[in-house]
Amino acid sequence: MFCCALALLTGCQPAETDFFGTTRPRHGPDELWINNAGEPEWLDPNKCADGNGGEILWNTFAGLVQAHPATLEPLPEIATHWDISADGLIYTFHLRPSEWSDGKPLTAHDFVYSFRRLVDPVTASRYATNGHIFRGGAAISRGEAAPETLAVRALDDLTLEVTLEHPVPYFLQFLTFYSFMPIPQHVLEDLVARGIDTDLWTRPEHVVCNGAYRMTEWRFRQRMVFEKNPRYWDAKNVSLARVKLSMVESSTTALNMYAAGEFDWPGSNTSLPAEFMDELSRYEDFHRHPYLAVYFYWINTRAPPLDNPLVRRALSLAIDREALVTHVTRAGQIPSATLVPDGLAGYEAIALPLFDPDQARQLLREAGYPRPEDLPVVTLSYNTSEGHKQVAEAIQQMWKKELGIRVDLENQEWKVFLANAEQMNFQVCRMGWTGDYADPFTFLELLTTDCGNNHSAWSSPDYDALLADANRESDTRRRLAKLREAESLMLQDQPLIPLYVYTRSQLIKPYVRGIEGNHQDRHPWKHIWIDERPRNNERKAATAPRTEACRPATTTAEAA
Amino acid sequence: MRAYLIRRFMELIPTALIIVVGSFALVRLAPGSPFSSEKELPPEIRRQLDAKYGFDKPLPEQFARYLGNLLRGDLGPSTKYPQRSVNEIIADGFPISLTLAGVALVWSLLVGITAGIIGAVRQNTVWDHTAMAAALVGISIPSFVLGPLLVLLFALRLHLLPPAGWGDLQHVILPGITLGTIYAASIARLTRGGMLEVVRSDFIRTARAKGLSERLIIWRHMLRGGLLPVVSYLGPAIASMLTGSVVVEKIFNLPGIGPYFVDAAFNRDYFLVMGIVVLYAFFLLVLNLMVDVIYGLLDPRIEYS
Amino acid sequence: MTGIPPPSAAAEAPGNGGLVAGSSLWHDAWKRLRKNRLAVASGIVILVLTAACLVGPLVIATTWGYDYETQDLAYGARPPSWQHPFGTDFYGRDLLTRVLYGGRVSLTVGLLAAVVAATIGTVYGAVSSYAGGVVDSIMMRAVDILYALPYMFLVIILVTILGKSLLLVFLALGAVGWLLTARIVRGQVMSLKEQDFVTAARSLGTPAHDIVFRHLIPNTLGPVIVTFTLTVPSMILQEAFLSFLGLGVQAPRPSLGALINDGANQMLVFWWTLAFPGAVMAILLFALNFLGDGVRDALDPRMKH
Repeated sequence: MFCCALALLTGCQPAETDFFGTTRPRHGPDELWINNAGEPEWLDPNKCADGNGGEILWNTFAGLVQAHPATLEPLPEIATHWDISADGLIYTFHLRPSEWSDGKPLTAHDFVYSFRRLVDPVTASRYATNGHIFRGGAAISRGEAAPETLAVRALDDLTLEVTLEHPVPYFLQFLTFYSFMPIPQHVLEDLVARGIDTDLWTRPEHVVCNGAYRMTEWRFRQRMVFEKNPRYWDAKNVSLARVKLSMVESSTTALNMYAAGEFDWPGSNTSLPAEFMDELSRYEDFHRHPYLAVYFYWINTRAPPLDNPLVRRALSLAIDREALVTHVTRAGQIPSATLVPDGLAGYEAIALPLFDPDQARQLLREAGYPRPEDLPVVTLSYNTSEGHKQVAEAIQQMWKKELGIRVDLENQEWKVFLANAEQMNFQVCRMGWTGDYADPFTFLELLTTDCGNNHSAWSSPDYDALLADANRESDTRRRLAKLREAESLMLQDQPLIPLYVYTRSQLIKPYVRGIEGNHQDRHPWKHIWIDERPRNNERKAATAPRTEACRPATTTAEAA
Repeated sequence: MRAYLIRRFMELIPTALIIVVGSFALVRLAPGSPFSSEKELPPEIRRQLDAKYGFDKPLPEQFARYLGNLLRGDLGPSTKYPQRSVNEIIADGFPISLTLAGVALVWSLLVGITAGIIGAVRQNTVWDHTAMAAALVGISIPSFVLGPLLVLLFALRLHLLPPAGWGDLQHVILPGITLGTIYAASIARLTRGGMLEVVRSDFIRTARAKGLSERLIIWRHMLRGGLLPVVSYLGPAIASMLTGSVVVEKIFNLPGIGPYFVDAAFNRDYFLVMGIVVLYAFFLLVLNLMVDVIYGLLDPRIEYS
Repeated sequence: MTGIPPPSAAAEAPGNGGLVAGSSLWHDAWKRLRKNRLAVASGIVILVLTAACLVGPLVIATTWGYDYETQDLAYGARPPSWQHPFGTDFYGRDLLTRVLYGGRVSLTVGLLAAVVAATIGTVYGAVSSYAGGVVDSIMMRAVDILYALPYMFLVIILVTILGKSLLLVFLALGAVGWLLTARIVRGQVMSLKEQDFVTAARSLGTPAHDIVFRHLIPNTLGPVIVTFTLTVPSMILQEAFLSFLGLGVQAPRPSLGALINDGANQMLVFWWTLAFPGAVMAILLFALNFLGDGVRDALDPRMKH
């Protein structure tokens, strides 16, 4: 009966159209309907740590600097310009006069309050480590110093001076992250005075913000409605009056709703399932761009037989990454045998073969396993998800086919998986890492001895020293060379097996303009507008950002 | 009867207590933490979070506090949605699951009992086989298949109903049918099976011999006796319908409480899991009590001891 | 796997009056069953299906060289053809092989777990109801408690403590599978135990366990068989849910439930990945139902009229 029902439904497929579903907006030209996939954990900039919250914070708050919608280059926002000391440690930001959405003036003190609050252990922010970039931040987080000792001060109401722990070439770009948005101290203090839990300050009845939009309605797990904030400093360049954000978790449901015109854009938090990729990529409203995240397998370097680097390298070389992305993940991912994506902030990836079964077999022989049967069964664990299962099944077969080794797959429920990774209770496990900023360090930091996210148990004093060295280096070229040397040293030992660099696949209705593909998948709504004119035939016409903020900086900005 | 009811109500207290203790133990003994994620938390932050929710205290103490709050009607905070309490989350979602359950229940009883009666009265005829084949189709198509097919047909092809979302009554028609169908199919099979047990029993033969009309026999005698298995089935079935459906609410994106059964467990959102368990247990116990009372109404020979 | 073994206790019972007539019952029932063409055909279908699952993968492997795990990525997700009558899956594996191989697990798990669940549930429900009073209260509240405990956590903890094994799959499925049968049988027995033939047996001094096993349980077989046929598909699908929690069959080994799950995700693009596993499951259910009905009718001595 499945056959009949399906034949009936798929048999009457309409003639091929250029677009997936309806192409007429179901709302006025000043609105945008998108999907956020799920409820955020926090809407507090200091505490938020998930993409569901990030999407909202980037549009409701404005930090010192903002990222260019296409290149992600730091541009002025609340800070109009800034000075950097010769040693690259002290940044002085000059703020424009601006207001909170309740009309109160926004000052440098609001930033000081926010940055201290970020690292204060009492706040218990998941992203407290972001604040360790400021001098004294780490000690405060450990509870060894008072939050007031953070090297961040307001010289006057419109001047902010911050001192860094060490020179950070990507500091300004990092500062565009939502952790560093200002916090309205007066609102939180008012709640305290009224005896209301301050955790509730981001609910629409209390929230005060300074970004382009302000939340006006929050129906839990249904929708959020945002309206243009007239007090945003650049409000005159904000086109959409209203943005409706739905919470549709299932990507298939989101696709259906997009087809029916209930979304103009499924949003950055909706990922399209691999099975649909071939079909969807035929449509003109399909867009794809690389994404700054790497999919890889951790190896527990303590457990035999994988304590032998030769075996680990053999495993890496036996994976046909090209086949993996073409036939399994299917979303145009970029196969990669290195951890840092090629071309990231001028970084040239190390040349390693993507697939070399002969050398893999050779390495396995050198490791003392002339017959693959001698190698004990290796267990590959992944957390339950269709996508991870698909990759794991393919790789299991590749290892079996190329090396003849036996691999057991083990899927685990997410929290169990995390607990096992933390306790090093695995042999090989999957992981994905999203870069927080466009610099190789965001990936390379993972392998340092002290990094809590290093699940390989691999530790190299040389590697740690090279990274520390690189961070003291002010010359970009020499710094990148050091980072490259470190990565090459690490990959010799292969504590992890990189597989590919992610891409983001999007469906965007043809009447929606101003969404730029960028590798962090950040698309501020203020740059988006609805164009109801009939489309010309030019496919995916490049749309120049329209707001003043996005023109090349005319201020004294000097990015390091 | 009154004594029976009083005794049954007294029984509910220890039963509920065992459920709460058992669930609390299961939930807290499972590996994993509400705060674990891909990015490791610094230990000091982790300590702060544990302290905030009282997870740093010994388990018995935590349980005592939970029970105290529960008796006052406070289900605690949510660790996954820290800006909301479990009470709020359930208050938001429950009316939606309730509406869905209403549609599903009406659909499943109407279709299920009708098909069951037809099957039993016209046993081994074309009518019977058609009704039962339809019921089997209903049982063998899981809701995660039926739901998308209904959406494809009625929303995306015929444009009669919205594909998903929550707003007015038209949003619950497809989900209600999706959820109700599997119950309808089970009810049809159980009604038919139950009635066939009765159909040849002595009292029906007596009734026939007395010359009662066939219609009266069906309604007064066969259906009453035949409904016993259906009623037994409906106790837990309605309890789980009322507390929503993981699959159906996800497919149709209804913001009910069904998905928490799985998601809150995956997130180790301890208080939310407990809140949902308590709610479900409440309905289960009350409905099963009602079922026992209904037994007596359907079959006067059943005595309450 | 030639159908549904009747509850063993009743099978051993020698005939000494009552409603069910002794050892000749099984002989008579067998004779009646053989005359029921639909039931016989269903039995044959189940046998063929079982045989196909047992030897099919081997035959295919020796004839065409396909197995359930070897991938041919470039040949992924092709519709049915002469080389692959059921098409290939996402990884280019022969779907027919995978369906047959998966059928092995699912038939074993589904049928066996359902049989065990039906047996435990029937005996438990009958004993509880016949005993009545405090015993009934305690036994039924225990059922309520098992219904209400958060199942996912139960499974997660079982996996953590006991590791993964097929035995644990049975345990996890069995833990809840019998509850519905128990409640239904209890409801039936509550009505039956007040009927004349039971009171007569009791006044003749028939021991309690004889009454339960010989008089009460055989008269609940109708609803029990119906419940059994409802349990089989839910066990097969539940097994797939268990594998989400890390229990159950692990990839790349298939099970019917897992194939249907995967197929449902892909049905709009690769219809055959759902259609064939779904059809096999539907055929199994149809056959089970008609055979079940046949067995029920055959066991009912009143059917002679």
